[in-house]
Amino acid sequence: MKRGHMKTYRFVAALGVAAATGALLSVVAPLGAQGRGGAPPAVIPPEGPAKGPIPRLQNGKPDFSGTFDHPRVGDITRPANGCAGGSEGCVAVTDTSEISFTPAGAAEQKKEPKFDYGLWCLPWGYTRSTQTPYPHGYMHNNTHLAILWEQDNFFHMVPIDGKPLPPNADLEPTWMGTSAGRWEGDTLVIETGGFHPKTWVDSAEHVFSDQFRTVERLSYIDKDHIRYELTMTDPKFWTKPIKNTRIFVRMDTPLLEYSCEENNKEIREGFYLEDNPLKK
Amino acid sequence: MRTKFALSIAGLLLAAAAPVLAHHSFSAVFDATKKVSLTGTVTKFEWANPHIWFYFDVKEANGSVAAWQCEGGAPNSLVRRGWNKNSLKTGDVISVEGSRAKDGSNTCSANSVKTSDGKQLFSGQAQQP
Repeated sequence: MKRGHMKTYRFVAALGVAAATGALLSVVAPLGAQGRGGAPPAVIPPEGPAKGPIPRLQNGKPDFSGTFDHPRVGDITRPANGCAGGSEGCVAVTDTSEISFTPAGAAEQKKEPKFDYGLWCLPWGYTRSTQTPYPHGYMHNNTHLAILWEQDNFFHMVPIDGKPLPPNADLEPTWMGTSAGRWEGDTLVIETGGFHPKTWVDSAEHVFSDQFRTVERLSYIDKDHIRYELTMTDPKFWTKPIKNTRIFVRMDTPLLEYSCEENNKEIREGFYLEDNPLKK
Repeated sequence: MRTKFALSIAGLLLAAAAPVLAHHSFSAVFDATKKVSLTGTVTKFEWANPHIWFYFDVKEANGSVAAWQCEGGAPNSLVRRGWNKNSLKTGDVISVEGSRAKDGSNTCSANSVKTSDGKQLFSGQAQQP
């Protein structure tokens, strides 16, 4: 979300409340304002004990169930401020300003044009789905974490049984990969691999290989803020890992419906095609 | 009412930043350096996924009428930004700021929409970062 827009939303929403004009409110009051973020911290705090009480599962571990707004990360080599869904307090930082490619990775990255799989309503891929313009959510119990993305209304199941994740060579390649979860204190650690390289790491079209793996670390900063650390490795395409650290903000709104196929004019009317009938 | 195109440093920066939309790569369809500023009368409004589309007639300086179509974000995103299915109606006079399609057609990605009664609506077309 553009910061200028956010300022305008706040101003108009405040005006609407003051005027108590229901008609105006119905137009200008964004649901995203119901996020519980508040002012973002100057820096993302290190992983550590949460401030105050947090939701907990029956087994005593943190319960991440809920809807969360996240920063819109279009490029894993750039920081981001602001939340995709209009809440306040989302932050993203990165330890890499430029990807260091192996020769194989550089060659693959240079290939053009790249197939824009998202245009064709194919799954966005694991890392990119948590970086979209729309929030995500979790359903959590003692044995599983279900990740629910508003983007394409897609989901992913993470078993939390402490079993190690097999090497990529032993995993069936999929769009969203295969995950294994375990606890380190109050931090949920999710290791994921077994992706087929048909997606991108981000919307900046950064490619990855069949050796790509991720490790995510989720921990509560407080009951309404999740510290999210994502470490990505790809020894085939990258010379070193890339780490992104982000803050997610709890929202009071539900996840909403999304369908990529419904009125996809780019496909139906061929904006991409050389023989676009709309072309003058 | 007229159509303006502007090449700006800001536009160049946006293009370099690999702006992105809800389901497709922004740069594959639209040119962030070709800014459009349009005023016209709504002829049709499609409140649907994965992008809303609205159609409007723009009267050119020479008196001719050009039919334009512009896309915004998805309804789930726009609801959070204050839009709803009644935000635009046939006959509404609107002012649109956006980026033109690369193919040169009268198609744009809208950044903002302003109605004649002063309501400022936003497209949710985040050109991030």
